[in-house]
Formats: sequence, structure tokens, C-alpha cells
Amino acid sequence: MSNLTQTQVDSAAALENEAQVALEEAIRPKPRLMRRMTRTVLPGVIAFAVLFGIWQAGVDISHISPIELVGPLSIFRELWHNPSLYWDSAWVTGQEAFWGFLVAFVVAIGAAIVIAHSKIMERALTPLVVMLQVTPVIALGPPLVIWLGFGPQPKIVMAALITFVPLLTNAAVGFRAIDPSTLEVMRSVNANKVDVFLRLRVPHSLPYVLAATKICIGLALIGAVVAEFFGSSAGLGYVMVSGQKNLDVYEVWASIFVLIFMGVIGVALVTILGHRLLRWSETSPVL
Amino acid sequence: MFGSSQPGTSVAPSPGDALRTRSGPGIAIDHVSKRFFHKGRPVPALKDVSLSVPPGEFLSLIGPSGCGKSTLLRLIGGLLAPDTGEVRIGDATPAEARAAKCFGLVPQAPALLPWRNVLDNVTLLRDVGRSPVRRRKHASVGAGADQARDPLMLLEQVGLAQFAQSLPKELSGGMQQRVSLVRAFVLGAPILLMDEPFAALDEITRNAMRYQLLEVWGQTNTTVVFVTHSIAEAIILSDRVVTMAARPGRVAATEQIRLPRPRTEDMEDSQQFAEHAQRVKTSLRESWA
Repeated sequence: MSNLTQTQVDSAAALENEAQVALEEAIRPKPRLMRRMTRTVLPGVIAFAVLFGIWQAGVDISHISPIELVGPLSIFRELWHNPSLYWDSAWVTGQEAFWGFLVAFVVAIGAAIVIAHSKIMERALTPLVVMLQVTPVIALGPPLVIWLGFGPQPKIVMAALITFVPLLTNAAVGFRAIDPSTLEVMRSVNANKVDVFLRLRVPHSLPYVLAATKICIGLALIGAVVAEFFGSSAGLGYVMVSGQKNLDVYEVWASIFVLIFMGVIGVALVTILGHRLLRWSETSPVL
Repeated sequence: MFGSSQPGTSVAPSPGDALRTRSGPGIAIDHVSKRFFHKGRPVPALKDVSLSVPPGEFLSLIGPSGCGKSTLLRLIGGLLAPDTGEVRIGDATPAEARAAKCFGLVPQAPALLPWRNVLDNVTLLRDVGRSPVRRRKHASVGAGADQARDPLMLLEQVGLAQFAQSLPKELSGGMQQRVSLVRAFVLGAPILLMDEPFAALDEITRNAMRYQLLEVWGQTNTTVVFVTHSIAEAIILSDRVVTMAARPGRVAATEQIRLPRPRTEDMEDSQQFAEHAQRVKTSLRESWA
């Protein structure tokens, strides 16, 4: 009899302990914002400073010709003296990349919904997707310019083509990545396809789609700039081509810096969005 | 068609109302067979299984792996269709019963939605599978037919009241499984289908959960079909233990459990418990041979 009581006490204690641990986990105070910022942002800032410092020192000490390599300080000087040129060009290229991404996103999500729900459609569409995936999309630049002219259209199409496949495959995998037990529980109360899609598939696909979006920010910028190389009258790609022709290396490098900065801003925005949307995730969203 | 609809309701009864009467529907399994195909060859999962579960009974299915316990559970819940034979839930087919939300399913994994907090998880099933129009119509029929229960009270009862706003990842495995149990009870479904719900838990937690389940179940008149690998679990929980044999899956023996309710932990040491366990063990051994 005393044995039994001991078992009961043990199990009750175990449950209580388990509850206590989970409670402490849930209410542990978050580190203060400043401390968090120094922990999360500062290491990256220092790494940047070190890289630029070494670069600048190397250029200064070696007396290398500016044609071959310019230091970061002179690049920043170029940006500082021509703000409107780079601002306007970034705006043009940014819009092309953004609209290209958006078109790809809408079409890819639509195709992923179809693929996730129909084996036959998956089999029909997979060869086309693979074909697009192995096509060096950059090589489509000349025909796109021939078809669509020198306006923003070929840039938008190029950015869309280059971002489409990563978005589609990730969204399709995300829509399919639902837990079979949870699906069965939903089916046991007669949940229909719309219920399952909105309540299970869409939230499950979020980590995948956000990861793809991060990759696609860089890709969309590549698509827009490369399309500008093939024929344009505005944008960072245009500035780079004209800088190359005039041997103005500062223009070339300043454009590259602006592109990097745009990509960083885009990735940072998606990361913040990801932290907001994926608080529930067991694994914290990575960069 | 649904003869047991309650008198005095002016609205035409839907299957759900008939199935949700106070006594609840029974389950009738009549000469059911089911086979699956493995590499193109048919593998019989269940062969000529007949079983009847009266309303309010706690029935356990026990047997070796591959004896078709889980398949039988899914046939009852209308998640699978039998090849031959018939399953009836009261007067309705499993599909109709499923549409009327007659089943609360508790799988082996907690199967919670990680982005919903505990409270939103346990109320999830109330909100799906029914169009808003039907939901409103159902509400106007009156709450009398519906056994849906207060989620917060149930969470309180299993000791999770302070975790209502927590996310699943903040809970231990045992706590998550309790949330999964509460989710099934919140639905107020007259039939609960449990597929080894405690199998993944450690022995101490598992033991505590059995009595917690009995406590919550005791306040309802729910029919339970409970799949398990544990003889002790089957006996302490059930009114009746059905032993199944494998290849092909079939009913091997039935043991009526005569322990009084409410069940307590010291019954596990009683002579009667030992005799039940001995008989179930024997029937399992014979089903192996």
C-alpha cells in the first residue's frame, strides 16, 4: 500500500515538475533591447569594419592603380557626390526587381497549389519546371530585349524567370510538408480542402516560402541588372555599363555597393517578417 | 431515417442531431474485411471482423503489430472504407457520422498546430468542417443536443489552465498529449477514437494520464474505442478488452472487465486485475500461435 502511495506521489511530482519547467521557460524575461542589439548586430558591424579596413589599407599601402581596384572610402565619396544618380538608378532597378519578384511569386504560388493537390498536374508541370531550372535564364537577355524593347518589361520578365523556380519548389514542398496525423485529425471532423489548405498547408509553407524569398531578393536584383546590361537607358546596370565604357571605375563600384545595400535591406526586411510570423517554429528561423 | 431524433424539436433533424442524443449512437461492425496492396500484391489487413460497441462503452483493442487495430479504428471513423461488410454508427454510415462531427480522434502523436496556442488548438476542430450557415442552423436547434464542453474548464481539469496561451513548443510531450485529449473532448463528439495516445510517453506520465483520461471521460457518456499495446492499460481503462490476431487481422477473444468504477490505482494490485491480465495474456499468446 505504501508502495502505491509512493508511485502516486512520484507521478504527481513529475507532472508538477514538468509544468514548472515549462512555465519558467514561458515567462523567462527577454533580454533588454540594447543588450539584444549589441549581441545580434554588433558582431556583423565589426566584421564589416574589419573587411573595409583591410581593403582600404591594402589599396593605400600598395598604391594600386584605381583602374584595377578602388578603396571603399573613394566609393563612399562617389556615392556622396552623386546621390541623385544612384538614388534614381536604384529606384529604377529596385522597381524592376520587385515587380519581377511579385509576378513570379503570384504565378509560383498558384502553380504550387495546383501541384500540391494533383499528382497528374505535378507530372505534367515537373518537366517544364525542370526545363526552366536548367535554362541559363541570363542567356534569354538578348531575345527578351528583341521582343520587349528597352523599357522595364524585359527586366521584369528576367527577374521573374530567375526567381520563379525557387519560389515554386519551396512553396510546393511547404504545402506538402504537413503532418499526416494532423491531417487525419482534420479529416476526422470532415475538414474540406479549403480548410486543410488555409489552416494547415499555408502556415506550414511559411518557413519554406520565406527562405525562398530571401534567396530570391538577390536573384531578382541579378535578373534586373543583367537585363539592363543588354539594353537600357536607366538603372544601376545602365550606370555600370556606361561607367565601364568611360573607364569610370568609381561609377561601377558605387553601383555594386548600392546593389549590395539594396539586397541587404531586402533580406533584413524578410528576416524581420520571418521572426514575426514564425515565433511558433521549433527551430528558430535562420538567416 | 434517423429514428432516434428528439421529440419537440421543430427544425428538421440533421444526422448530427440524431447522433448526438443523450444515449449516443452505438457502433456496429458487420463482417468487415479490408486489404491493402503492398508492391502490387494484396495483403489482408482485416478479415471478417464483427464487433458491436454499445453507447457509452469504453472498449480497448489490443494485439500484436499488424493485427489491424488501427485499420479498424479508421474504418469506424470513416477515414477508410471497408472492402466488404458494413460499419454503422447508430443509424448512419461512418461518412455521415464524420460529417456530423461524431468522432473525436486522438492519434499517437499530439498532432497540434504549432502556430496556435493551446486554447486555439483545442477549439480548432469546432471551427472546421462546417460551413458558417450550417453552424448557425445547428446552434438554433439548441445546445441540448450538443455535448460540446468548455475548453478552459477541461484544460483546468488536466492541469493546463495556466498554459492556455502557450505555444505547443513550450510544452512537454505529456502536456502536448493532454492538449490533444482535451481537443477531442471539447468537440463534444459522442465517439472517441484513440490510437495508442499514450504510447510515446514515459511510464510515469503514462500512468498518470490513464487516470486523468478516466476522470474526464467519467463526466461524459462518450463511447471510446481505444487502441493499445499495453495489457495493464487496456484493463484499467476498459469495460471490455478485445484481443486481435494478425495475418489476417481478426478478433481473437473478448474479455469483459468486471472491476468497479471509478477505477483506482490500487485495483492494479487486485486479484481480479491479475486474473483479467492473465486471460488477456493467454489470448494474446494464442493469437500469436
